[in-house]
Amino acid sequence: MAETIRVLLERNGIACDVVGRRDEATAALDDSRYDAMILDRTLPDGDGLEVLARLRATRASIPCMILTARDALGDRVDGLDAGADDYVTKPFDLEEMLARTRALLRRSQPWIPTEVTFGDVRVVPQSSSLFVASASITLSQTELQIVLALARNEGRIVRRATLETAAWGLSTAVTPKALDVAIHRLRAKLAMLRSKVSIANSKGIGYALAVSADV
Amino acid sequence: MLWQFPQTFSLALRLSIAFALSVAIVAVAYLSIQAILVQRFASFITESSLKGQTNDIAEAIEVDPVDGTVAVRLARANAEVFDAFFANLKYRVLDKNGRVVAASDDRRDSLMPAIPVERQDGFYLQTEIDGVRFHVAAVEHPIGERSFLIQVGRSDRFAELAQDAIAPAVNEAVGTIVAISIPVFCILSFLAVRSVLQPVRIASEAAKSVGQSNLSARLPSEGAPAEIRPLIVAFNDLLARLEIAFASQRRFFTNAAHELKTPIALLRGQLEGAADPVPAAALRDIDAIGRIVGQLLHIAEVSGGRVLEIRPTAVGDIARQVVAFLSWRAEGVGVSLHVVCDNAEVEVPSDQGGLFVLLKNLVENAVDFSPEGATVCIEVGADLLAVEDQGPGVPVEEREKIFERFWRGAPTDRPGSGLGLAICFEVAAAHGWRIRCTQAASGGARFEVAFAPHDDCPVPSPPTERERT
Repeated sequence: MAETIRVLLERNGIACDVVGRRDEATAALDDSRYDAMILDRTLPDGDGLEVLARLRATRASIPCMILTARDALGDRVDGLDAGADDYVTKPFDLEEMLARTRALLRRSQPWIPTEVTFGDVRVVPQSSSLFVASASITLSQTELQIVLALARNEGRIVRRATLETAAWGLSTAVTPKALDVAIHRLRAKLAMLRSKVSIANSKGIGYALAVSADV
Repeated sequence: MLWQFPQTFSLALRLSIAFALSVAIVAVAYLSIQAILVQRFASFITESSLKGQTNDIAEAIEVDPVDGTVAVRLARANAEVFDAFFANLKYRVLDKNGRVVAASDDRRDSLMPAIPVERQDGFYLQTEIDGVRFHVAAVEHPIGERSFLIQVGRSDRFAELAQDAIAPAVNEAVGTIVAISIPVFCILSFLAVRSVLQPVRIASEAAKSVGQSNLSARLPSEGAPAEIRPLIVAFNDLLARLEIAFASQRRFFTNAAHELKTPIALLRGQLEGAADPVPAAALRDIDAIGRIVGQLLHIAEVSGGRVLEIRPTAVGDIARQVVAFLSWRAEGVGVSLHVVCDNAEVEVPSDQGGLFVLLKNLVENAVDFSPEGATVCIEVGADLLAVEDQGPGVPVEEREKIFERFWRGAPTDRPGSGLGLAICFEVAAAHGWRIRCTQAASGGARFEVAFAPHDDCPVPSPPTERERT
């Protein structure tokens, strides 16, 4: 299991060490500085949660994902209470696992803000969610990248090409209409949350976020 | 029992009432016996009290050692009674020959005229002297070598006078004692019972705080009365067995989950890593197996008497956790998850793990039945949690059956074990909440969980498992 995850992460440019026991995990954490930890609870020498509990008691915040078969009703609560940042149960989708690991790594890098706000809108990449006050809606990866690009520019116009690159990358060819469709969906979601933020269209150039005062 | 205490009465109150009733019964019985004795056995009482008086006189007889004359020297109070009531209360002391040697007055007429002296010992009779009815008792009393016969007589008039003087005072005294003793008894017995039951109260407070998280706690038996200690010890033994049972149940679920899910996860990982292109159908099947295993474990857990750990829970936080957990999956099928939360502070007393699984299953179900591009709306209110989708909806006749175990409805290619909603139902029922399926304004399905206080809300009975062929 651990080997499969190691191969997956290394193929995607994330270096990792694998240990199989609780005491080895504690020793490794003492020796090296890691950006994130993926922890199974069922270890040969006990509950992996104790590694996390010890870590949280002694040292700062290495982001931690618990990846386990343990899925009884109380297990998840125990895991989050012990200080886990994410709790994934087996079996899992490798792609999802990779995406969650990347989200975890972002947490340990303070120069990448985990949340971006503009007006009353708050974008949380980790759960691909857009919040207005306490209401939220999930975004597709395309929508997420577009709204992040717009929000980071704080109301300035962002060129269509920039948005397309952010959303689909350089390699994928997209029709010009795809961006308009994504913007349309984002506008609908902002309206659903009754946000004061709207997306203004500068014809032929690009889009910008704007805050309207009278909503 | 002909009569029973209302069940709401406390033990202390019941015992107080029982004590008060018994005191009242004793008082009534005492007064009745007294009245019966006075009426029916007046002569018996008179006889025994007269014999008592003859003994007083016997003790007071003094024989002069020189000339052998006899004198009765009564205690002053006693002598004064004979003086004061001389016409109605008399005594005589006779020697063996029937000669009167001492008497309460100078008239030495016989108190027992017809009976020979030697046959008078232990006698009691009624006679008339000067037209007045007298009760007479006679006792023989030896002093040295001589033997005397002591006779005491008392007229009816004296008895009536004494009774008239004493009876009201006695009755008043008994009445007062009863009137004071009943409330005093009640208060004292109430306080006594309360203090006796104090350890029981402490034990029951401790018992109330025992939950799944602190099953290792035991009830205090110090200071408990000997009658109650065995109950506390037995309860502690029960807790110990329960702790072992819960621990082994938990171990079972942990082991079962590990043994079943790890190979499935491995299989999935290997398939995903090795095969190119990844066989989508095989992955879907593996996911379905994983999901069924998870749900079987959950249904076994929720219907296996798991103790809920109820604490105030921010439902909005749980909703966000569920969205974070399912966002990947929802995005995979082009469905957005929308959370509407009027008040982020809303807290509902609930088991966090149970609430997460309930909401996760509802949202998972809604995502499965949503068309691409649709939105699933999660509504969090102070007394309601609702999940609405834009799918085909649930036909009216299936809206109750849908919560039965293994109910699958019309054949479909959608994933699912038919257990997800049954788990939701069990979790809701365990909290005393009501869950129902209705139709959303969009025509899709709307699932509502009504949080209601445990007391007001009749817990729905779980649907029976459908017979499967």
